[in-house]
Amino acid sequence: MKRIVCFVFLTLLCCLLPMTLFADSDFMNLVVNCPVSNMQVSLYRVADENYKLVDAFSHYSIDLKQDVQGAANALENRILMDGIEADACVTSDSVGNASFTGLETGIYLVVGEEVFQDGVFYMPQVSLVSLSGDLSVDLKYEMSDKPSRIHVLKVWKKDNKKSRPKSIEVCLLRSDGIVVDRVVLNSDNQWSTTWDNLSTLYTYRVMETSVPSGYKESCTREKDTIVLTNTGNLTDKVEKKDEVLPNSGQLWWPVPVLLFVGLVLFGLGRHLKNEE
Amino acid sequence: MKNRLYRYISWIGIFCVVCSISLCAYNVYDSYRSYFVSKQKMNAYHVVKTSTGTIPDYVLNPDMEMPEVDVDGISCIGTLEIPRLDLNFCVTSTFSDENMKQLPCRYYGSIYKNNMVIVAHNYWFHFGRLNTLKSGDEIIFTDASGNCFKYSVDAMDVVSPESVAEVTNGKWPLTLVTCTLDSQNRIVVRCKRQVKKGEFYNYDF
Repeated sequence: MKRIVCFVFLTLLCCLLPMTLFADSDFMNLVVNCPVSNMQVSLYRVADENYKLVDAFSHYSIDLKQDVQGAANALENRILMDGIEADACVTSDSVGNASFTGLETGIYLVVGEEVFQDGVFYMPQVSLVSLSGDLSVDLKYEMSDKPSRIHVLKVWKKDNKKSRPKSIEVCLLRSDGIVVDRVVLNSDNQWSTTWDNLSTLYTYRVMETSVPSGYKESCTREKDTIVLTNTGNLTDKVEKKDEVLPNSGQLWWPVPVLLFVGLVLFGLGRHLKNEE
Repeated sequence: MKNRLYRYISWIGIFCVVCSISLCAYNVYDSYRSYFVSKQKMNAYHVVKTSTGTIPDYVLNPDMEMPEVDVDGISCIGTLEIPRLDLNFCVTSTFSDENMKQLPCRYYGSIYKNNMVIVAHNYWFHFGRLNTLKSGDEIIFTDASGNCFKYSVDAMDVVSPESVAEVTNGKWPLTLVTCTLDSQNRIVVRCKRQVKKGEFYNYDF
């Protein structure tokens, strides 16, 4: 009887042990579907599952919850500027899949490299991926010529105009990581500037040299305009309005009144004089 | 005694008539003064062209501050043109009684946010003939960067001075306000935007 019990126990142990070991694996896989083969895709673990920036990204003023694409672009700029190395780097296979294995949970930044293939220039869009299990994502991309003109616009949100910095410095960053130009933006230039006649051999990014304290940065692109947004932590305050509309009238009403009263009194006086 | 009384009455009557004529003359003088001042400011006004992308900056960021131009010490946000009344003058950035004696003032909002309210005196050469506008009449506002916004008169109303919320509710992209002749109420002209095909208007891309 003991032998039978022992045999059953060992059999169950052999069957269940692998399941318990591998059922809830801590490591996950990510497949990035690229538009073409031979596209290099880099992966950066930028935040934990609570959207808190980690490691080399922890000191950046970027909020992943507010504007996801804006945050992804800002992170990409910082990576290029500070030369942060990717956690993993894979080239897409013949069907365009770039597979990453052994990843832990967290928020990942997926950065694809620009590819010129079959006469078409593929510009992948950087994206943030929340990984809590095996996942397959499509890499968004644009097919367009590299722009030779870039306009940058600084936008301030949820802040107090008085406590806002008087000016900020932005730099034009080439795709090889070299800062080409630096420009100061302020209210005199409407917080904007334009670079013309840029070399189309490179793509360009624009970023703020340093983000003022109390602000979170994000970066979006609309056609040839790059919008750099700094978001403060103030809630939109209720506007206080006047109680009455301004008095914008000339004093006209006494004119006919005085004229009428004057003529009546003058006439009365003449009448009394005639009676006399 | 009666002799004196009719003299007093006559003199008071003459005084009232003189006051009436003086006030009328002062108002006419004040109207012409404002006319020359606004003309002088208009001559000193200049557009500050700034570079922009394919999509105008104000479309990408309607919350942006309206650019300002200093005109003889007064900050102006652009010009307002009312062709039907042959009016064209600068609009000051902020409202104050002192500013309003010279030019129409921005009272509320922003042209980019489609909720701007402009207030001006009812001088003959300012908004004094606003009540003669007809529905469909063209109103043109050009900001300090040279962006042109065309509107047409949509509605006209007379409201009480307490109707601040009604005037600034943002339902019309442009509102012009002035006093009625008796200064007891306000004439409000509501304007709607004229959008050409292909022009940027909506902010949703």
